[in-house]
Amino acid sequence: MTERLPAELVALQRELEGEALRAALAERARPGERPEEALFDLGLLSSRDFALELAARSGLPFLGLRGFLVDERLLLYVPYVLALAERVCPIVMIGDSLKVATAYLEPDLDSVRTRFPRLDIELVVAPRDEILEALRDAATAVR
Amino acid sequence: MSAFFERAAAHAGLPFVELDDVDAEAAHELSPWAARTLGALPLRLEGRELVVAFVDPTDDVLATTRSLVRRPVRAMLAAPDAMARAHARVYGPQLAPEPAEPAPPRERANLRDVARRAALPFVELDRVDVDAARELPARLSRQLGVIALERRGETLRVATSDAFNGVTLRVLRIVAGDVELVVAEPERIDAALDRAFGTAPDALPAELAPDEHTQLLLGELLVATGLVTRNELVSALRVQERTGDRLGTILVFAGALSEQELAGALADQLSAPLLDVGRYTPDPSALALVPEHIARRHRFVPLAVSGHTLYVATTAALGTEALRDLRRSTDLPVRIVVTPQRQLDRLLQRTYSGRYVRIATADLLNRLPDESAYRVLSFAQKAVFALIAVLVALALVTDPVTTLIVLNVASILFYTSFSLYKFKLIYDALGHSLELPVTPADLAALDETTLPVFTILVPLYREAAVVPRLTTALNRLDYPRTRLDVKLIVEEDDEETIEALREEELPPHFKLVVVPDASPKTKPKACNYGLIQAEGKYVVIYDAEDRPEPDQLKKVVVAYAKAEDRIVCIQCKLNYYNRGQNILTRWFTTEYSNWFDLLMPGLDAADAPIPLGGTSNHFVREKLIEIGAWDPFNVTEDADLGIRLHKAGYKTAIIDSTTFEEANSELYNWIRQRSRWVKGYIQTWLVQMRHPVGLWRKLGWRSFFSFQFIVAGTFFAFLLNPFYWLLTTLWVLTEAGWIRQLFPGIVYYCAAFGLYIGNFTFTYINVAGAMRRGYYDLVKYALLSPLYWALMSIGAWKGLAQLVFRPHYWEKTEHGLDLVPGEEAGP
Repeated sequence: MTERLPAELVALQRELEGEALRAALAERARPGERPEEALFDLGLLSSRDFALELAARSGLPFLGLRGFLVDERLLLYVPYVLALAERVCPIVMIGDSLKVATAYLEPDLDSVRTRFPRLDIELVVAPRDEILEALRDAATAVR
Repeated sequence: MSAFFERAAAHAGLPFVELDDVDAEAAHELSPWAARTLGALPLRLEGRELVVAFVDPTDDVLATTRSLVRRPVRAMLAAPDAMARAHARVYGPQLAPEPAEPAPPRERANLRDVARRAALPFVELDRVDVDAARELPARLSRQLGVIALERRGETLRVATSDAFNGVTLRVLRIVAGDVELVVAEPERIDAALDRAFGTAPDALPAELAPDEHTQLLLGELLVATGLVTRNELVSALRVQERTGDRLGTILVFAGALSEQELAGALADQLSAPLLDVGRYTPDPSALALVPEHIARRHRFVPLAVSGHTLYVATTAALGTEALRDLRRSTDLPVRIVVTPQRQLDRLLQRTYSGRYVRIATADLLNRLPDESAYRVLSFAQKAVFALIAVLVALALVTDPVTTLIVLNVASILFYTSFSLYKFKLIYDALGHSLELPVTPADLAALDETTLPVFTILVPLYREAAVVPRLTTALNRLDYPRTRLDVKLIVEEDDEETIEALREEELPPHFKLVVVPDASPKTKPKACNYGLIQAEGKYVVIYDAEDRPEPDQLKKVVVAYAKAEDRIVCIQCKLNYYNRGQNILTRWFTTEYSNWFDLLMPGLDAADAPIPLGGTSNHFVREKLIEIGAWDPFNVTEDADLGIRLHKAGYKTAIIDSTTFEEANSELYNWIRQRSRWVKGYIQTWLVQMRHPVGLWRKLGWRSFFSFQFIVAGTFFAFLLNPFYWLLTTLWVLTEAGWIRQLFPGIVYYCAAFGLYIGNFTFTYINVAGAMRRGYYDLVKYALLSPLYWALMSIGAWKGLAQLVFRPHYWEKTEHGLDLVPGEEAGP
């Protein structure tokens, strides 16, 4: 449960009662799904609050993605399906370093690292909702 | 385009290929359909191995290709546009996919299509209903890029160009309730807004007008993101109207928002990263680019240089002055990284603590070495004192009686003059109100929006026990919290106090400043360290146990507004809240009452230099820094500063506001404190008398003599008293002839006059002080003052001895001795 702590803390800071929290999680959390996802979907926790808390705790930079346009060439590195599944969004390539926004601390980007062994991946934290919105916009633009 | 994919190939460890040279036969190892679907193009056969170019060689793509060609595949990477052209060339144009077009920017997208996707009506905005448009505030409409079109019952119909922006929708719902969106071209929305509200003013450069824009947006963002409620925002805006403070700061101080949340919102608003700099070590190359004083002045820390850009950590957007100062230091473009206030403070301290300590310790010594007590005696003073000692010794050997008579006469004359001068000052003060007047009407007329930031320095050392009382006392101050900058200055080795302060959960205007362990470990050095980081226009020192009257800071602001320009320090009165604890505290209270209520106003009225009190002296920060602040090697840095201030042409004023302190109630603790004071007075006198002629010229003869009487007279009398008490006692007991020899004829009468005048004066001023304060119960104890003087002399001799052996040692006064379990003392 250690990696779940930030979300619950944020939730508790918002005075969400423990009982309501458990009930909400039981109702919405699917097997394997992060409990934060259920909290976001139920509107009990703002993905932005969560990202801010996560950024502060992890020391990773925070990045808001409202209005952000994804450079679809970067989906070569982080395929769209992987980005959606892992709640990540490629932001920019600087030299050999790809900046990737992530909603959670340890996204599974092993496949990217395997395919691009000489690529450095730099993580920044962004709100899940804004990542998904950016990815949705990218899909619309590609179509 | 190809450069990007060439680099991607390098990242993937694959060769990059331009696709200019394709073997048509090999190309047909894959069907055109398969090649197009897989984004692949076979290039050539090398033995059994087929070399194939891919635009995205994922594992699935490679596996599918291998299964189709049934041979080993060696992958290369190609750019998609080159692939499309090669497909057209090899497989025929009719089958080739169109080269990918770059995605159109959102604002140029076909908004009719956007409206269709969002299932929203599209409008042309040919006509605008001005009344309806004004259902939303103009600034809000412009910032969100929306315009209200029509009110239909509870629902407001609003046009936007960004139908998918959830934040816009949430903000609109908060502001206007039920909202129905329609889509319109952004240019037409802008034109409609101009028609409804008038043409928007030309955009100012961002750094010139950040506040108005950012605050409005910030408030809305905070509400929209659920960080504050609508009610909290409205309350904060009301406070802002009254105080003029920044919205975010008000919300943080009101507890509606954490510093972390505010930093996050600002980061988002400024499109800058939010960084927890708690464990971040700035890059030395970045630090080298910007002088420390610029970083300190504008409260930022250069973090790193990356990609020819300088990154600086700050709490908000950099202002015009900060940018201009940065431009003088570096030509690199600057990007900010947002961090919460408290973390920035810690980073500043961590980064520059070494430099701060050097400034705090050696600034005065380097700038004005003759003003520093680092050396107890100058070479010339040593020579003069040695010469005097030799002459006196020779005179004592050759004619001891005459020599002693001469010394006796000199002492008596000084003693009598000193007593008469003090009596005159006190007498003048008794008949008048010599303080700078501040009336209740002045305080009532004070406009809170004009109140400056006030820095309160509170040096603490091993005083964990008084921390709760300190925070309570400072919280009672009637001054906007957002304009207070309270620096709790603690020595690095005082872990107990640091821990106590951290446990106290201090409000945002309380800042913990940890002074690195370095000599000398004195209060003035700690104050200098805090002063370097002070943000206020005015700076005041309070001790840990101090209880200033709640309106003291406002009184000081009013006093400065009334005062002449050369007043750069306002001294408030000090007194004791535990005067009734024992006889020592009663005597101490009478002494302080005459010193602060009568003597200081008297000195002020005489335009003489004032040895300042240890706390509650409110300085103009810039002027304090200009004259070198406190001398870290002087153990009565306050008295010394008062003299230096006068020498520099400035003046101190006294106002009628009292800070209540804890009177020393324990005898040995009191003697240690007094020994430090006397040592400091001697230090101050020796420092200022390094150039007596220069001092005379700077002060003028009146102030010069006042300095001699008030500073030298104080310790001289304490040191001399025991000899005369001893002589008097011996004379009464023995009537020895040699004593009579020391007081021949007129000398005897002068001595008797001095004795009566001296004793009368000092008893009288203590009685007068108690009366002036209204402490009538202390009058009878003031009459017993001679006993108190004996204690003073003990302290004075201890101080003199310490000046010889440990000149810079700080005899720490222990506080909290008035605390009785379960009892809360009060003034």
